[in-house]
Amino acid sequence: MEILNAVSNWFLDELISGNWLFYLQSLPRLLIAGLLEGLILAVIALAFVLIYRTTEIVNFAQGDFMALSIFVMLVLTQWIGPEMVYGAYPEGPWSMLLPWIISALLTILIMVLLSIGSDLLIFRNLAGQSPLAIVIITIALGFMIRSSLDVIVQPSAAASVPFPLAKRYNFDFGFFNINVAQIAVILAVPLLLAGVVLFLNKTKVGLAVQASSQNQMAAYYMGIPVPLLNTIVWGLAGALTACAGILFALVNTERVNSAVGLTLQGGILAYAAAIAGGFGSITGAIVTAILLGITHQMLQGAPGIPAFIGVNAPILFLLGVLIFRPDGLISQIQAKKV
Amino acid sequence: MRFQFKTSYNADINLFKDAISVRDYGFVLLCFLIAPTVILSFGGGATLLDLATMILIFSIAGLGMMILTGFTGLVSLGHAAFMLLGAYLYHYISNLVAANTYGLWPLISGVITTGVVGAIGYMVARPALRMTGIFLSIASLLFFELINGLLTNFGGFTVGTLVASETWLHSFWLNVMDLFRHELKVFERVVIWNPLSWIQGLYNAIIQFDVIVPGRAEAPQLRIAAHGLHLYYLCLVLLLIGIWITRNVTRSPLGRKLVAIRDSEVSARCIGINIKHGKSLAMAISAGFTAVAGILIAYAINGEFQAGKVGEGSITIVESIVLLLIVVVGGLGSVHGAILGAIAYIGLRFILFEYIVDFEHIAHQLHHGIAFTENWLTGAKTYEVSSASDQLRVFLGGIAQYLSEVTVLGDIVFGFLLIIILSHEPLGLFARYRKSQAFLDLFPFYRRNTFRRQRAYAKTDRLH
Repeated sequence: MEILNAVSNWFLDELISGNWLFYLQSLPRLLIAGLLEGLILAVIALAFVLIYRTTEIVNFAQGDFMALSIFVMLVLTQWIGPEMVYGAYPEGPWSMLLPWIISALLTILIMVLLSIGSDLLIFRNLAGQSPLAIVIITIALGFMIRSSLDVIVQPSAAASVPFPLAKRYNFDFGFFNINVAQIAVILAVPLLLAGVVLFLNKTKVGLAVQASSQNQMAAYYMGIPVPLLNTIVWGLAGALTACAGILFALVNTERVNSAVGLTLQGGILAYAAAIAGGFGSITGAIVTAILLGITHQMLQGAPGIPAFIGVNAPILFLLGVLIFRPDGLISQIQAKKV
Repeated sequence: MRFQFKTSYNADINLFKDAISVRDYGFVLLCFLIAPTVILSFGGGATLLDLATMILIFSIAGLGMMILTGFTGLVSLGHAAFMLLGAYLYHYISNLVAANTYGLWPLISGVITTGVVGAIGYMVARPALRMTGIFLSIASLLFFELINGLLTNFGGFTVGTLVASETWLHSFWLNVMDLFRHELKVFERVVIWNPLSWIQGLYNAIIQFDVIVPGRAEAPQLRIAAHGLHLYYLCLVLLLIGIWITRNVTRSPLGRKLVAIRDSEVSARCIGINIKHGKSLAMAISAGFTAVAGILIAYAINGEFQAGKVGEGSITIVESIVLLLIVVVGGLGSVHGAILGAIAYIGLRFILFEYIVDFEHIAHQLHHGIAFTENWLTGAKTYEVSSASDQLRVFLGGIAQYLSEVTVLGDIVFGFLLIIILSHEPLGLFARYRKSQAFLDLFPFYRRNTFRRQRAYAKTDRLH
């Protein structure tokens, strides 16, 4: 009884002492932050789901690929400056834009090559093997990537690759402010997601990918080159992961270190979002990721919410989804009927 | 090749297949018994002994994982949550009674902890088992993060840092040594007569056993070794009990139910098996095993055990994944697999991290004989290079120097080896052992395609 009293007192204190006005004022800011977090998670989750759908591989190295792309981007932006592109030091922040775009494209290219390489070297030979062994192999690949990063950059090193124009074009509306990088993310990610969905539904290659994801054997008999498609999808996932990494580094201005692939802010949350969305469903993954980001940001500073729940809001949200809808938000499997 | 001639129905479920396997396992047990004495006699010291202890502890945890993943087919990525719960709960319960240094209370609190964590496992399993496959794995991973956060953040309910008291173990060991001291003296005399060096090692080990006897406990490193020794034997006893329980579970009706659930859930339901109860029971048993491993790890690390803290002496999400890694590398569905996996994982990491190539030495060799000027303030060396070969040497030496300062190189090699091992043997080390056994049994007539896999494409269980 004493404990109950103490807990209720504590909770009421939290509720009364919370600064509601401040929370209401910062609501738009929190919404935008949540949207940004969710959109970026959605891109990683999409890559994760794409690989699973076509090759049946649960790729737990995706987050580490993302961390790798952040550091590749960091190195490239430091290497490719305006003097390399223009041959001189032009004035103004706009001169930084072209080098930034060039290094982003190079990052995407490098990640596509690495992703395809990992498919050709490791995963192509393992088709149809025990799925658990393949999962462990992806985890080992993640180990390798993470510690290679620690060799190339210092283990304590942290990166953030700011958008060159973000400081200059920062729009302040009093109760919230938004800069051009955040606007770019909010515009770019839906375009990216729509592009992937259109690619899957409208193009010939996309339809072939869907066919092979439904039944590899039958697709192969129909003359669809399944191994080639798998390679294409690995490349696509690599490009998406690189985009996610670049955007992640844009938005998270506090610094990102090499372990981001296996932390709750980066990789693990994306995997969980993809799976809680109904593993294999692209819509489910995107919706869950965005909801997740918004829930996280809204609950974190909310008055009346205990700090523990606020901090662990994404976990509780995902566990809730999984417990009340055990097959995910948009279910892809069904109990076998005999 | 040997054939068993079964004369009774019980022969199918005997603990040991036949007298020869009793002999084989007895030999393995003997190896485990004398391992610390051999280690100490070769000057391995406390580090190697800690390694051996860690292998035993992870074997216990691996047995728990094996019951859940290998025999029931549930894949949990967050099993280290039970490890954390076990360690913290044990700490809490054993400190409830002030006089925890003597008596049976620590043992009792260990048993209580195991039971409580088992019950928690059963309760957690109930809602969790609505999910299947990858959904369950991710949910368990989230569960681990939740427990981790709970134990790290909730200062009011648990302690942040766990300092395991080793006193009861020490006093227990003292009592045991009191019982056997007479025999030890006799043994000492026997050993003195024997000129063989490994017996000499045994003798050294016994001297180090004796460290708790007043007058001999001068050197601190010997005391560490002695701590390792009694922890090692405690872990060995617990591992043997664990193996016995696992074997008894697997050959009892419960174990056959679990295997039926793993192989086909629908068929298991059709023959009247209560699937939810079976799975929850498997979860409870494996949670209990993992809790024991957690208590032992808190002891072995001795003082710097903290939830969620990155670094030595902590259980993070990586350790949680490692538990699954151990059973998969060892080979799913066998008791051997858990132990082989633990040996492979801990041993490999130890070799890679302790005995990795000495890059500092290589750098020194490469730089040898090249003139340099040293900055007196920073200590940085600038080499005066005259020829192209010198330039190459300085370049390679610089790389070696850099690599010697980087400690994570072992992780890269470890990941690489893991990929190689699992690409060649997706069924684990125990499968490789069985294959080589078959090769020896059928020696000239072994056919390469005996164990060849049939299916080479992935099949989905999604609905379209």
